Amino acid sequence: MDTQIRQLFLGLEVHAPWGDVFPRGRLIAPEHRHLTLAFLGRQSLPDLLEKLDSFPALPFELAPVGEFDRVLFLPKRQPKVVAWHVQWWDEADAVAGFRTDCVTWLRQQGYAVDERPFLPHMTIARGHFSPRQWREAFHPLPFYTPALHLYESLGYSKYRCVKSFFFRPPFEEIEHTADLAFHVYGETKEQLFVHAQAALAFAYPELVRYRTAVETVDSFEGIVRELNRMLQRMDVDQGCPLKAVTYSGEITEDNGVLSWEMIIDV
Amino acid sequence: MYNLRKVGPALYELPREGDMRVPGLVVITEELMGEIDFERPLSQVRNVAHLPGIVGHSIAMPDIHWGYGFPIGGVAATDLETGVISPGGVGYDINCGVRLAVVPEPFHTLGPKKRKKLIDEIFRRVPSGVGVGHKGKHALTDADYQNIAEKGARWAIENGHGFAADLDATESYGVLPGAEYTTTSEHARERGRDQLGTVGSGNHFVEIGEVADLLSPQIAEAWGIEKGETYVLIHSGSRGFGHQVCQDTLDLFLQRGFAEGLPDRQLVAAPIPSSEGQQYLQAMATAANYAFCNRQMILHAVREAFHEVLRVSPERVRLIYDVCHNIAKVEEHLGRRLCVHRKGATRALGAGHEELASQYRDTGQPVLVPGDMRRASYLMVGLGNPQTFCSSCHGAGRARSRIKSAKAWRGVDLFEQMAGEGVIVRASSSRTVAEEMPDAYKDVDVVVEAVEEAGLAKRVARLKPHMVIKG
Repeated sequence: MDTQIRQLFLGLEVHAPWGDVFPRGRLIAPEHRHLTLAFLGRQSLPDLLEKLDSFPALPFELAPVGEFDRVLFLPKRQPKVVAWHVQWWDEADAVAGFRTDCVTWLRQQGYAVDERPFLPHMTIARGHFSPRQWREAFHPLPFYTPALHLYESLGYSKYRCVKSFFFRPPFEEIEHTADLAFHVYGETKEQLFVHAQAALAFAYPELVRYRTAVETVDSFEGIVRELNRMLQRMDVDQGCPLKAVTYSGEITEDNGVLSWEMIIDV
Repeated sequence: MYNLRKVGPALYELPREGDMRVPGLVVITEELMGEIDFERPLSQVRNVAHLPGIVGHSIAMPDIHWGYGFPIGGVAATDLETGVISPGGVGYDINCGVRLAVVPEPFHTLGPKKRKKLIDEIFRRVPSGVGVGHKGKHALTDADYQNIAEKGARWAIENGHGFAADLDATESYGVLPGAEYTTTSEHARERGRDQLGTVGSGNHFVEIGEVADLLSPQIAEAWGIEKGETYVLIHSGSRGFGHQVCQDTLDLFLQRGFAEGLPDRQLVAAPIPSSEGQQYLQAMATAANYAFCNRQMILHAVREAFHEVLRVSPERVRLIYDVCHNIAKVEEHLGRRLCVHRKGATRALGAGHEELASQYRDTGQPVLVPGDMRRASYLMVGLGNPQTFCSSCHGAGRARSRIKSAKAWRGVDLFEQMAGEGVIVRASSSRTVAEEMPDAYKDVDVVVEAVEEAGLAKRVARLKPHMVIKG
């Protein structure tokens, strides 16, 4: 009798401008890349699904964004996987708080959860690999997490999404004949700015190095000026394929979410 | 469908409505109208018509496509006393432009090995793209900037990059008057310091090919162009220096509230006589003169490559013309002094114009129209059409977005693809090549037909690309 006992975990799906070239190792396919929040182990799937009605509410509407800022080899003593460390650009506290809420909820439902301190990371490869090659090849990469999934491990680094909770994307690329354009979203001007940075970095990942965190942005013009400073820093250092973020468009609001059609001169 | 009224061959008027100060005038054929998303650029034509002091029409060329503020392919003239100057009507890449040279060697004599050697030598000598390719050989000092501002392309020639005769074959003789380098920020100068003599990225290029057809044989003869000759076409601008000049000015103009009343912030514009307006004109001229030097130096590097590989002496690589297609110039039209903004549009003076050097005064000004890297580019002659303030198109114009283009060519070896079509491509980035594939552009044949039909310029020669360097 199939009791539907499955290897389950909660994780955030990850989207990034991955690129095609990687050092040696058994790569996790892009569609399977994720950031684990809580590992449940072998559990009854139907039991868990029944309980999900009381699952903690998602603390944010828009997908959190961040960057992979360094390479890790885990576990430290006898590494079996290559992983990329996560550095959040926004919602860091909200993600950490949500993770705590998830763990609390799981325990309340009778599930044992790993007690070790949470190290936010994404496994990128397993198997035989050269740490030196992975270190040398590493460049910071932006990402966002479009969904929270209850995953089932299928083995061989493949996973199935059993139950999903989707976030709104932080930006969407749109058709523009001559240049580059995105719809960018944010709940505050500061978040709109961060998501605009992410959009630019998705187009040209090298821009991650030139990003600076800004505490507050006072205006639309302020957002554009700061974005252009990022492009300018890259241009002085190594050349930048983007000429400038234009002042085109306006910030509009719809149901508490700000939106801007950002056009970048290429 | 678009509320356009046909007023002449390939000429449509967009009637005044709302707060438009003048009507729009669109140079286009029905065929081209059907090919692109026309509504967005048309709305930009309407917006430009709101500029204070605009004279005549808000004009759009047949290579029109969606830009920001101004449409790409937009022309607007404003009165010098009562009108405004809009940095968005020039663009970030101040004096982005094109130059054409011919080499008196039949292209068909360049066999495959020589072509490969030549393109590799040019790729080696002319920095392009980002990374290593973004740095030129000269790190500019402030004294250099001062000299470039004052002399334009002549500075490059005085430093060993070309010949005095090149200046007669350059728009405005390679220098815009009134430049003042101190009106540019230290930040702008820092950005441009290492970039002089580099092509840049995106749609910038160096192209080598064959003069395939002579469509106005008499004018071609007057210009010393022969069928079958080899040509060199260069597309580049003012690099990070110009971009920053534009950015600094936009920031300043917005702070000063000059966007008030305009339908698009990117159109922000200062009264021409104001200190801000005058300062921008001086800074823009400085950046324009940097761009003239840039193309001068790139051509000379190409000349040196021809010498190295084919033993063609540099003097024999003869500059035909150099045009600006992102610029604002003070010109006289209809008895008035106007500031003519050309954003992705080219000046096209007709025969007899006093501004032209003697070799072009009888014929009219050469107009350069790059197409795409497979089909064709064109050499045309200006007809001095007053309706468009002596302006013509600047290229084929994009028909497809960069995302669509990159997606369409995903997984294909683009260099092999183009080689199979008879074009050798060298590029620092295959992504750029994917975005710049020929099918991303309108058919330049159709665009120049519209230009000719509207009486803006006439075809002189059709140029067939065979070797292209992309940034």
